[in-house]
Amino acid sequence: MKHPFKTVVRAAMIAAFAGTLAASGAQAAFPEKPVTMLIGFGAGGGTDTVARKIAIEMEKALGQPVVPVNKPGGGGLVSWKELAAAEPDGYTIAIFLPLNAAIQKYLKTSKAWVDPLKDIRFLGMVNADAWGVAVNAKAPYDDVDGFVNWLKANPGAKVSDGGPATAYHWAWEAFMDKLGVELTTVTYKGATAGGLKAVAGEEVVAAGAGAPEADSMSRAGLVKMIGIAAEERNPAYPDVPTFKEQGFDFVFGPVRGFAAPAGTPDEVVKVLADAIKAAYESDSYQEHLKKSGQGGWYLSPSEGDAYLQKVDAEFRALIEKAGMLR
Amino acid sequence: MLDFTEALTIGLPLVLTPSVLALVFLGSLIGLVVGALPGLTSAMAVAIMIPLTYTLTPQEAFAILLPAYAAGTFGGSIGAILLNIPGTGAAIMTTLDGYPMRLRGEAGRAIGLAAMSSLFGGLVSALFLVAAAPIAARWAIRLGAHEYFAVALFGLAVIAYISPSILKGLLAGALGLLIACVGNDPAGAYPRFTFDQPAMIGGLSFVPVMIGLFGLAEVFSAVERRMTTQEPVRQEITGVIKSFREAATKLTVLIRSTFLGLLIGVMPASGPTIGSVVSYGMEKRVGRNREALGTGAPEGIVASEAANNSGTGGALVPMIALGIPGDAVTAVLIGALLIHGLQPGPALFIERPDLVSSLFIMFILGNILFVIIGLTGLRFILRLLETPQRYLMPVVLAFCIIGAYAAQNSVFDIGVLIVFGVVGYVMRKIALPVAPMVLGFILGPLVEDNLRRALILDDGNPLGFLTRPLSASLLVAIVVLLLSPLLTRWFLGRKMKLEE
Repeated sequence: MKHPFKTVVRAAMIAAFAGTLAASGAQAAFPEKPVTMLIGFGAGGGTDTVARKIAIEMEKALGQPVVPVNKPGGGGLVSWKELAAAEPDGYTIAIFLPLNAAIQKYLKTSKAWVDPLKDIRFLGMVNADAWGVAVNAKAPYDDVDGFVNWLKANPGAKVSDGGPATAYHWAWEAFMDKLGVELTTVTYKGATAGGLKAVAGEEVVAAGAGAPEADSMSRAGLVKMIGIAAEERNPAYPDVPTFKEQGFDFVFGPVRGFAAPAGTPDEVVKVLADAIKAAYESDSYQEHLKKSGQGGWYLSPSEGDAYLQKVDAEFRALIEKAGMLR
Repeated sequence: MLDFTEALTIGLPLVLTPSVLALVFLGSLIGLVVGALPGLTSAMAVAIMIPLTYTLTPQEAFAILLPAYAAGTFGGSIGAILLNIPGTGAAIMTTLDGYPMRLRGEAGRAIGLAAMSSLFGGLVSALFLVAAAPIAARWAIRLGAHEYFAVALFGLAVIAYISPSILKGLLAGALGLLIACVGNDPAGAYPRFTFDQPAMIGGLSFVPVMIGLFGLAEVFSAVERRMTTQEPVRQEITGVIKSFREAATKLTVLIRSTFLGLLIGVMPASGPTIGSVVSYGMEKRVGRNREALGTGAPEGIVASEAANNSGTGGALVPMIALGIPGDAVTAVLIGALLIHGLQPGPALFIERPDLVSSLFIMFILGNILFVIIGLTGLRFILRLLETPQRYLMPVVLAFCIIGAYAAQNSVFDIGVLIVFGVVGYVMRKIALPVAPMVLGFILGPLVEDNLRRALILDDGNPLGFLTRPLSASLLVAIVVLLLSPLLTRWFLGRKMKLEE
């Protein structure tokens, strides 16, 4: 049997040595073990695909495995709760959807919520999809102007959305606010396809949808897109005009980025942010964007912070105006 | 658009390659096995294979996925018959007659019936898909919230007929509706019964609830029996071919169920499960042998299996023709098409008619193959039954847990599984039937979402349900369905009085 004292001394020496190493090399050596990437949505969906593509490319930049872990539930909230509670050492990050988080914060879809301004550190944006308006192909208007005039003549017209917990619902609220029209939103839970079907079946007059989502039904002559709320046209769907070029300054759409827990040291944030930027610029991610019709949009951490502030104010105002601030 | 012969031929060059044919076989096999295993649904069979298809061509990818869908739906009946655990949701009704038959030692007959009915339902629906996809899709697009509400309500009315005791059936159905309420309400996003758990905001997931109630509860019961008391019944496997002919003699049932399954399958967001529920309910009302349904009657298996497999072809109609998912599996399949840069929908018919045609052919091949594979492997499958429970149950337990987790990669769902395993166990103890509870759980959101949607669309006026012909006739049918026992009794009573 070994002398117990010897063992203790040896253990203490090892610990001290390891401690010195950690103290001297931690910042330069990050990451020295695999990074966990939380995905707050089920496997196979749009968010999951983006996260996994980025994870593969981040690995190359970091030299450590990036392990995606699905934590579905609550529109991402389950994963962000876990993120906020994680050790702020950079070894736990999550794909982050600022619009969902802002809705959860002000609508209180659950008693527990995560504050995008306090509980996380933003690492970079990698994707922005544009919300748009699809109407029945037989509708007597083809553009935003015609649609708005029709709505003014027919107040209270019904449009489809995904329910108040979704960004697409607040897109309509913002649309009403900005363009001065009155609408009633009808919830079609789940994918946008249900709402588009209701437009094709003339149950509602319009659906909120991105250009890729409406593409097939629009090519088949069932619905038509009158515009997308983006800065520029989607290169994959060059025929769909923007609201902006039609004279309506309206930009709205779900975006996806990455976040670490609040309190993560600046050096670590920088390493992760650089890896995300490299992943964003990689050929394979750009190829994915092109193939899927999802939009590319990069923001650095500081640009992202400003964006989060803007979203926070915007959604607070929208939700308050709708009388749903809880 | 494609005409019928074109639709069946121009895709042949894409299909008749060794790699595609091999993948069709592989897809059928995997679908069958995954579908048969308790807890692993056909939706999961398809979902877990999608990452494997990233590097394949679209037709190769679908050579695995479509046959897996067809075979998985049939495979569900195997678990239902042999273990009383529906392998997929669509096989819930098959347990009602399949399992009693197996207890009599007629598992071979039951599986033969299921195979023949599935084949018939699947092939008819495939041909319908080929012939009518574009037209049917345009019809289905006119159906709105009112019609969906009426169909879902009809499904709920069926609950009264699928349980030996109406009171217990309704009680279990109400429990199912109650758990369907968990999650934020669809119109206002208020949390309901979520106990401050973010994971419950979206409601409870179907897969862990179903596996818990059927699968885990069965394991608990087996443990209580100390794994011994239930002697494995020696299963008769000679009657399989004979039961093929037996299914053919139930032609009326076959045709009626296939038609119903198809009709409901074509309606977006309903799918094979609800088709099979409605078809079974219909059989219980109008079938010639309705009294015996639920005690191991062949008609029960035919009604459920013909309808769920015809529902697969039905569900593919809106998916391929419109890009709208007919059920959970087709939703996953749409994702798979998108990954390959293809947007399902009418445009696909115009741009890639050869590909659409190849999808049709592969679906038909899958339907034929699952019967061949299923029957060839039948001896092996039946051997499973003779496995002592102390070996079988740990495997079932493992699959239950894997199944609950894998549907969404969610650890929370394992907790849901355990809770509903206990619930299912207690329900068995107090002889409360489980199937009506699952129906309530499935149909609850459909009823609620569409009721609220319809009322918002009509600015709160409930008369809309009666002014639309289809929803009105369905609602009348429900009233007749529910009142018919009373009316019959009343008539009989009068007759008896007159005779006195």
